[in-house]
Amino acid sequence: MAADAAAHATSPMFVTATAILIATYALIVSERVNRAVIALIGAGAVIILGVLDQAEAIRAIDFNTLGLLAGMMTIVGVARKSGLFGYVAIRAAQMVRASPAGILVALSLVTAVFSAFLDNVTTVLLLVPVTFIICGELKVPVYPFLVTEIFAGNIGGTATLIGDPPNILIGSAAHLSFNAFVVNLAPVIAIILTLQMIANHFIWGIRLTAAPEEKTRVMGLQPVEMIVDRWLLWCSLVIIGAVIVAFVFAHQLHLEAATIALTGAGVMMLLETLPHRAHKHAELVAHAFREVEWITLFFFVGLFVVVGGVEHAGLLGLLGHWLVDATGGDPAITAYGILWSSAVLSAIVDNIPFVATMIPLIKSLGPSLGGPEALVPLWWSLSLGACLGGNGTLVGASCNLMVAGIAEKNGVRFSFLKFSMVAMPMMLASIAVAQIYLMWRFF
Amino acid sequence: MTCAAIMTADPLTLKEGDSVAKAAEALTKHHYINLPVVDGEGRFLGMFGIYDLLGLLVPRVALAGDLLPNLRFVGDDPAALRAKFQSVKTKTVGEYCDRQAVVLYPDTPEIEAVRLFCLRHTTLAVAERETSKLVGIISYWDTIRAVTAGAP
Repeated sequence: MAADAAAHATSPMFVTATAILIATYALIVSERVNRAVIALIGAGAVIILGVLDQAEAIRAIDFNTLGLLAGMMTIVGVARKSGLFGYVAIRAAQMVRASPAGILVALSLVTAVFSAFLDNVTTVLLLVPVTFIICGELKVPVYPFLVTEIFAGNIGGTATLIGDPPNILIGSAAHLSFNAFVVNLAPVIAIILTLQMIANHFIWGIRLTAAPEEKTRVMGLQPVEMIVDRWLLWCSLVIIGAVIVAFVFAHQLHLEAATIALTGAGVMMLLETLPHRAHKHAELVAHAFREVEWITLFFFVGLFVVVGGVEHAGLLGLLGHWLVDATGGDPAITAYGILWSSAVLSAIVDNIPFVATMIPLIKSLGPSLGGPEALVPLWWSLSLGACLGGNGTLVGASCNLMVAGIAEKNGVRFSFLKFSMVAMPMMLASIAVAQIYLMWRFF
Repeated sequence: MTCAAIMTADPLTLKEGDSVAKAAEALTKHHYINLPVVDGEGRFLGMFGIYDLLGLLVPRVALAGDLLPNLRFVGDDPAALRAKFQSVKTKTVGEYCDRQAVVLYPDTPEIEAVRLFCLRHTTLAVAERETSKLVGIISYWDTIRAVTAGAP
């Protein structure tokens, strides 16, 4: 088999597919051109140059992933208009009596929980402004709170199927359910989050103080005023709750994740439009669809085709053989290698192309490592590495850049070096914890 | 008709080193929406007006897009706004003036001024094309007076 794979390496299709992959990834990393544009052109090249025909290209696209992403983006996009996120953030600050160190912990928890079930970027987009207000009232620097929210967002998003796009990719491709993610990842994520909050406390929390009158101002905030649409609030809570329950019972319901998410999005939009006259419905629905990150979705479309091309051409099978040779076919060493390499790479480049490429590569290892069951720890390694790795540097994850962008616009400087000097060691520590967990749980 | 024909020449201006307190006094005394800010050589730098002044009293994050739906949750504390003004009144208008403000030229047609009033609801500065020296301002009152002059 290895000989067959090596023989493929000189075929024109192999060379073409590999060249398209390298060029696509290089341009994505360079950030000179929008990544969706690059991915679509790469996909076009895969078809036009004969690596795949159109039918094969369409089969390479994981519509379950696209549907899940689109559905959840729509649900969150509508739910955010209710003011729910800001309400929870202020209540959390008041529940710890406006103690700055307590708020540091409370907002970490709020961010992590929201990120586990909703999109990270939207979570921080809605929590960061309220964080600014709270810190302004307390007269404490906002930077520590923003950094801890970044960490918590990436950590929390690792815990569930829907918390982070890499998990959606992995879950869909490896047929891992929502429950499988919760059972296998939530425990270690809870440990990592706890350790992270302890570290945050000793780095920043113990030095944060606020005068009693400032704390009184925070206690005097009226969180209920953040709720701008009560009907939408209740609809959001019901729909998000129903969608999560449906994910939990997806196997019994014989439903795929995309069906659940898109149906939930449809019902959410219906409920949002109900109180309004018919002529306003189109405007509301159009607004809801504007909340979908079409750039991300088309980026995925193009990426699936490009990766499908190299898989069809045999590159991933060849890389799989090399990986088995390098690790001696040992599942544990393979898992740790995937964990650490995906963490380091995710810290510096976009993790989605990496995960999209690793998925078929890992699948190709099945026969060498003992079948699909032997691959399970590798999936968790990939998920932990790719998601937690985003905490390593300022460019490691979209939510990092989102927070930094808002901060800069509001006069708070986010230096790549200053952030990374704190973030990289903490990310590596979290990966070490993840490795210990994998060793204990699977090996 | 061009802007030169309807503008108010040699208008009241703010220097970039003037304090926010001085700007506030000038705006409220003369009921101006905004005033042009110039440098030491009289070159137009930007506009500073009541919305820029009020913007100094509100957390910046609350003015950026739709990140925060409202500030009703902050509650009622009149002393807080006065305290905030006290903390910013010594800062200079040069720091906070709108440097992206549209500038017209003496030969710009009046219709362009009318279009900009409809879009931006603000007084417009008129400056020399080559030197950027401020030569006048046009308010919507100037335009309405010019348009309605002679009408019954």
